[in-house]
Amino acid sequence: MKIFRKSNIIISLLVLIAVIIIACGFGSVRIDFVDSSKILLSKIPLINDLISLDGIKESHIKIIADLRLPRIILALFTGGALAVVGCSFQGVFKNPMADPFVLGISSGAALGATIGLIFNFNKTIFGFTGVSMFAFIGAMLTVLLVLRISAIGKKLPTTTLLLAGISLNYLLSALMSLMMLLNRDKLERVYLWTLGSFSTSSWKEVAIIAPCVIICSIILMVFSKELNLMLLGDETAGSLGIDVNRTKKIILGISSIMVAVVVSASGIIGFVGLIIPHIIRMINGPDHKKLIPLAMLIGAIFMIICDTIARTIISPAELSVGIITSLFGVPFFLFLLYQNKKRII
Amino acid sequence: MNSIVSTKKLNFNYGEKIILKDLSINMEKGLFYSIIGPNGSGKTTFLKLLAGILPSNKNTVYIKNDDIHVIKQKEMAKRLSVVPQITDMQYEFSVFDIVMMGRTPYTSRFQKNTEEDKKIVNDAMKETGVIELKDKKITQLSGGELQRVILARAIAQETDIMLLDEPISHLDIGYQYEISELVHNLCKKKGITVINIVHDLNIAMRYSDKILMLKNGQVYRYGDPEDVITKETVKDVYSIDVELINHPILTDKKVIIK
Repeated sequence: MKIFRKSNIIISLLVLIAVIIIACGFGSVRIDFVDSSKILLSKIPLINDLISLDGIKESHIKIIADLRLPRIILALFTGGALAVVGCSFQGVFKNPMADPFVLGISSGAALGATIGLIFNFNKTIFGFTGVSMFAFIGAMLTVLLVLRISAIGKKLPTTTLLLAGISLNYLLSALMSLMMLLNRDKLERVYLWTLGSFSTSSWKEVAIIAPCVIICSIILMVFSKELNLMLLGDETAGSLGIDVNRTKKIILGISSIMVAVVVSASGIIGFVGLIIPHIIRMINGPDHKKLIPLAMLIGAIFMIICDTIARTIISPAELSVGIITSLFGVPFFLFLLYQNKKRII
Repeated sequence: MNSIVSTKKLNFNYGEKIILKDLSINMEKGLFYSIIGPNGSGKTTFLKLLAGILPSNKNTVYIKNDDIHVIKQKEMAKRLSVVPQITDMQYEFSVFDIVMMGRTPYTSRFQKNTEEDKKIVNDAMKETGVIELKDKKITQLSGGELQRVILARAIAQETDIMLLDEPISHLDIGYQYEISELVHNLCKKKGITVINIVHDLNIAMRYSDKILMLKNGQVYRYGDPEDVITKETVKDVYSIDVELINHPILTDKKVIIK
């Protein structure tokens, strides 16, 4: 399935732009493609003088610019971040079943959010609610704990990391369930938080998340060569000149920050981080140089589509996007798996 | 001193268990060394300590007269390459990609692979006879083919020292001799110091300049093949009775079980 090797990235970029425009048009108020494009173009600094927004309703402009666009952009960066970290974790752990949450980030964030929701921390800083801040702190503390537990001198053995992460996942989930049961009135809110949603997206959040995801992704791209080599195992990578311990720490650290940021803003959205890397490997092969940028783009496309479905399918009510990613993503992936299986035979 | 690899009272334990005890050895440039010994005698541990894969104490392992602890990882990769026993690979890199990874110590982060790198990789693939498999996925190769690819990668690494951990143990007899011949040629033609762990005593006898025989983590015998592999040493170390006979056509001796 190695189609159009070199232009995969450009094609994906074009598809992403198209998906953004189309997603802007969807919702309880339908706005057509041309109008959406014009409104989006008018936001771009240098071109906006050339675009005339005559004939377009003021309310449409507001809906796209203030409601839908920040949400779509946030979905973009969240999907991209999760897919990229899926790649980096699968590489570092040399394990195709690794997803962004194996180090306990998800349960740490969920527990943090639970505490935040139960104790009603309402202060908003930089567009992030108190709940988000608690989720972020919970996520980062969990990762640091996992790294601390697993470290043997300077080394971070892969199996120990995975086991420590999984153990903490169970522990923190149990604590979270306990807190939920002791605070029945908050149960529904906590549960909905964990399922993931972009409904409270704001430009302020985008302003923090976008640069964070972009910078972290660029750093990971710079480590593509190391990631490729680590797939051969720590010993082989070491014998080829890679400082395996240092590389692991950097990749795990940067990836964790990226995941913690997006999870604390939008909750825990599963499946994307696990499966998108595999889909891209089927099309592109395992070389991380292309894998990571493609993961960013395709993760973004996938998330925008899922979020658009989540907010329109039972309009005007909303479904949690975490439900949609699995519900619609899994059949698609199984289809690809089946196609791949047929080719091998 | 023509020493290229040496150890001074090298010790290693796994917890309470002593694997290597006071191992002091000196190896010279350009020779073919075989390390033999029963399972559990410490051969692989020794090799991994030389390669820096396992941690050693200061002033115990020297590569080109430098203490291994002062040599940076990348520099180490330019001096010493490792061919492991088995490569477990489930990711579909092409043969070319894998051999190109051998150039890692020489390419800087933001640099693309140069023409020179590509030439070295192609030459390495020609030497081990895998050039036709260039674009094939390594998941589709046989054991012998894969081992030749890994050997090509080690060649592309352009090191003065090559460590091989039982590279032929799981190959058929044809491949066993083919790869041994290949490595022997590398040693003699290019002056690469080869340190080769091998189980087959006959292969060790044929190709080695010197043999290191380990028993219980210590040097049992170290020297010329005929001095190291004798009826008495084999009986003492492996507890089996053998005879050494002359090869009907060639000059080396053969070991036969009684």
